[in-house]
Amino acid sequence: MIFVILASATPLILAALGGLLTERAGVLNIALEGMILGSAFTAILVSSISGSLFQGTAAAVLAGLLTAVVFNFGTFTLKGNPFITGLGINVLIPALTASLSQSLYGNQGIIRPSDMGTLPSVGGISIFTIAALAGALIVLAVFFRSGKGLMIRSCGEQEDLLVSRGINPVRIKQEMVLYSGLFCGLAGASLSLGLGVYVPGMSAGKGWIALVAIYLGYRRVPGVVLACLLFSLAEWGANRAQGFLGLPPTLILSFPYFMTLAALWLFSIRKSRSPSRN
Amino acid sequence: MKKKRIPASLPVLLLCLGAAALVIILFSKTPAQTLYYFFPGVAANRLYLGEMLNSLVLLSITGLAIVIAFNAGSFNLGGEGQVYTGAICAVLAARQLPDLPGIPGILLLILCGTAGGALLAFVSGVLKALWDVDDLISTFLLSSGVAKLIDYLIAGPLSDPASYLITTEPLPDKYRLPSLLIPSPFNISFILPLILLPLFHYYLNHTRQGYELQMTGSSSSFARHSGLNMGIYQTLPLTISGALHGLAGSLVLTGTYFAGIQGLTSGLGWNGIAVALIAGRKVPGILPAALFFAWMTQGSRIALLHSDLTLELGAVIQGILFLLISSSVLRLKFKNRPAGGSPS
Amino acid sequence: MSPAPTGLLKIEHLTHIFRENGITPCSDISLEINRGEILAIMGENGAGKSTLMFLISGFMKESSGRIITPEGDSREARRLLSGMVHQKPILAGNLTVLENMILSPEKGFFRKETLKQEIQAVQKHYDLPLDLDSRARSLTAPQIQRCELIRALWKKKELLILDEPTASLSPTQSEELFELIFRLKAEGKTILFITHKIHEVMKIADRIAVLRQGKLQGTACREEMSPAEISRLMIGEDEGPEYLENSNVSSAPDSGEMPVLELTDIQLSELGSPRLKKISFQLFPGEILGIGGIRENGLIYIEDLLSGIIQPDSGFIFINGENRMPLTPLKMRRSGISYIPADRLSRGADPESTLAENISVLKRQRGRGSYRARLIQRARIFIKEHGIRGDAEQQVKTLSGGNIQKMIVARELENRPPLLIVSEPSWGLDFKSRKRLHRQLIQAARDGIAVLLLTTDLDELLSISSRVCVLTEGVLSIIERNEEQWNRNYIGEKMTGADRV
Repeated sequence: MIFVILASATPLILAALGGLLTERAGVLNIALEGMILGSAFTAILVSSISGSLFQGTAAAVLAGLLTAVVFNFGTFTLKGNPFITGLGINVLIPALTASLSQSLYGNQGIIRPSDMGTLPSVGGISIFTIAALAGALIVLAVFFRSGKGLMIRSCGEQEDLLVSRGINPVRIKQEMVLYSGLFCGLAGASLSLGLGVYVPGMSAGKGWIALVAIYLGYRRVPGVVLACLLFSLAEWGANRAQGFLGLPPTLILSFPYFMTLAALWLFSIRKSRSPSRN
Repeated sequence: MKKKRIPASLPVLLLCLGAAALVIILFSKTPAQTLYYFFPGVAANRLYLGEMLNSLVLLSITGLAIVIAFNAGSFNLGGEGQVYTGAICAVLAARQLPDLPGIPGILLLILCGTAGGALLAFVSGVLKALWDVDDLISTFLLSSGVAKLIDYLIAGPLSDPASYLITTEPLPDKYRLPSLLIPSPFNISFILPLILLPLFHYYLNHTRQGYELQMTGSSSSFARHSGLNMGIYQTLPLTISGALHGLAGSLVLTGTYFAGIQGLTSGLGWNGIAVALIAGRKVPGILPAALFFAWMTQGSRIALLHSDLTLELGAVIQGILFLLISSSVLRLKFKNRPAGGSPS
Repeated sequence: MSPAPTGLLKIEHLTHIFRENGITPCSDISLEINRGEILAIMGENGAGKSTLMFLISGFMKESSGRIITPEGDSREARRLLSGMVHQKPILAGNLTVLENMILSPEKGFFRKETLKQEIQAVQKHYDLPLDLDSRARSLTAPQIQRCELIRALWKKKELLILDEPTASLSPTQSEELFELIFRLKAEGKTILFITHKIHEVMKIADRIAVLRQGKLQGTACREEMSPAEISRLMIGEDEGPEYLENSNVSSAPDSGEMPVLELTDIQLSELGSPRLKKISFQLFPGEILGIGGIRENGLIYIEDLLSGIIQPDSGFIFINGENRMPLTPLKMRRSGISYIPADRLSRGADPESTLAENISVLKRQRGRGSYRARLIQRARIFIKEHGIRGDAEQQVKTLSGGNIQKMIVARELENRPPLLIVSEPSWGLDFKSRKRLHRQLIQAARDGIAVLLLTTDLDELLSISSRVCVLTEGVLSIIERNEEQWNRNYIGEKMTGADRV
């Protein structure tokens, strides 16, 4: 059970870590969803062409980075609203993957390459899960033990401080968006390569749930990881419930959204009780 | 406030059209023909034109829904689910009351749809007003969850056993809005935007409530400390927004598809956001913006239909539009008051 | 080495224009700063002192002109040369004091303990105690100042810029700071001391430079300039005494009257630490009750409590004898209370909206026709009546700070409220506006309005209050005008919690 939950939490943790980096730097990155989906598609595509899972993963990371570059272009170069830019990415990527899928495979549905290898794993734990947990530790160390971490953490709180120390906050933000692209690239790869299949819309709100996990985890690394694990646990529970309650699978699909909303609501109730001002 | 003749979003719109043309020229083997269908081809026959006009009607309603929320500083990201809810509520109403005469029946269906959409958005409004739950996230989550729920209803309990498609039972003929441009779905509902747009323009700009609503949107802190009733202005605009989405949903049902089909929203909620942004978050811009958008999506659809393109042209252009539309660099500069209430 | 002063910094024709509103806070300033001197930069609020310092420290980029350091005229060179102690704190509240100090363009991993020991050595050397591991958010204003000062000394900055350092200090603390400044001068540091208080300058400065409306009015050695001359250069024309006569102030009320506002045993804590401890006071019609103290972790809680956005843990708030708990901004306004917030551009006005929209927010406009048209019509009259410079349909953000405050004050007084809550009303106002504002407040009290004044400005507190309360570490003590404790030193020390830090 723990392995199952860890495996299903892996893409979520990776995406949430990426989101956490931008969030702490003061950028609301809703493009996580699109980044994951595009990377998931690229991972399967390149893996099936090259026959190498590693190359597929590398390509997925590149796809994530490329998406991040587009996000940076819209948000910082063109001075757009990051939210709407992110929305654009989330609209654009499914369309592009569908188009590519159509022209390469002749359909816009599920892509299941036949000769997919299995992911390397250590003691039953996939390499991506290890990467996710290692990523969490690295982010934690960077946050509290490196100059870069100080810059990130103060960037979302007090940009003037950075300016007064001769650091350009916009560059920090752009850099963090790139890192979130990298993390989402891994998240996408872990999602599709883990199953050996690409399904349109397979990100299934994971980017959004990752964002909510960031808030629920009080924007701290351990909290965020814990929130991701909790979501996966809930999802696992819902799937099990499907078995003995006889709930239809299409209904189950709505659960992550409602659970996320409920979690957000409880979190807000707690927050509104403390005497902090907006 | 001074009226402006040229929309500030013009450069972005031109860029999008340019991008679309470029994509067609690059990827189509018969670019001239594809380009023809993309632009003037839309008006070439009654079906294409009627479909475009029908989506113009629907888009101006969802666009208006987003504009109203925007003006109050709320971001309604749940349009898709609210439209879907509107449609399914109308389906349920038709099932419950199969024996009404035509016109009252249709009106009741539309009313139920409107109420359904309103209720969904009202929940987000209450969450915001009472517990400061971010409306942007809550509308999205609620709408996404409800959409899955409706998918299930259409596939399961409400599905039509007689059909091979995933759909509910079709509406009886008397509950259908008759087409004004056969064979297209364009129907009498075109009157609605002509009434609703001026009405809400007046409401927002010339009534006390409209002023206070915009004040709340422009600076919620100032509005709050000045003693405006935040409870109202955090729930009412969202509820109106949801109601308009629900209205659009019930119109899709009674005027276009005549049955609850999975995914019948076909992006109406998202596209409403695009329309609102092109319109510069102001009511007078909605109609031209919706026309632009409806024409463009219809053009892409027809161009795909008649060509060898494998590209999701409509969605790609839409994505590019979102990427560029909020850019302050690409906007024409006016010495005018920018609409407040930026999300985030 | 020659004993004659050598130049450290040369400013040539420095001009800065804010692109957003076209305001020119610095205009064609040329100035030389000598190595090892204490140079006082004087001027009223808004004279351009802070902007000049931001330019010197490399925080802002000049529109034209040059600032030449021994290492060149780049912003980087200026940044390396100078350490600035800001007037408005710019620390990142979520970082610890130590982390705030470490933050620099260096990206790599650091050894926290080594750096901590280095900094502690500096602290010991200059006797500047401060807990390096506490969150910057929990610091008081004097502590924030100390944090920036320690960093500048640790980084061995040659030029120290102190922006209104005594504004948040008690008289005793100020004395301590002056001693430190003399010591630093003896060690060869150069100090830029920004202030508008003449008596401080006469005490510590070697040279004085006076700014008015962005222009340098003159520089001179301290001996060559009299206080009267400085004052004339700062204000421009002869304006009489700096503060109003105390005799203008209305007297304390009869005790038989019903208090307009009464707080009883208010307790408030945030994140587990107590902020307000058993606060009680009464406010009567016709008096100005001044509450002094530090703003962070102090006055700000009273302001938020009374404006209804936070709730106390226990205790009651009575308005006109009625218990109004839980108070919300809506309830407070419905009781007819007026409120001039410290945060004017967020709570007191919406800079993005027009003057007309800002003026009419409190009062529903009756009548027929378009509501917007009614607002504009009324605003035109209002603007004329109150001498506000601006058009009804002009965006508030294009107005000057003084004009915005004028609009807010006029709006809040218009309805003759029973109670007026005023917080930091003269922040950022120039001398004349400040004087007019004080007259307005005194007149309001004479008209029977109960005025609650929350301020960190000791002079403001003493010059217009009928009674004074001082908030120290969450405890409120009341001082009447006729008591012997009514003196600058005593109240000043209570306000800043001089015994701590």
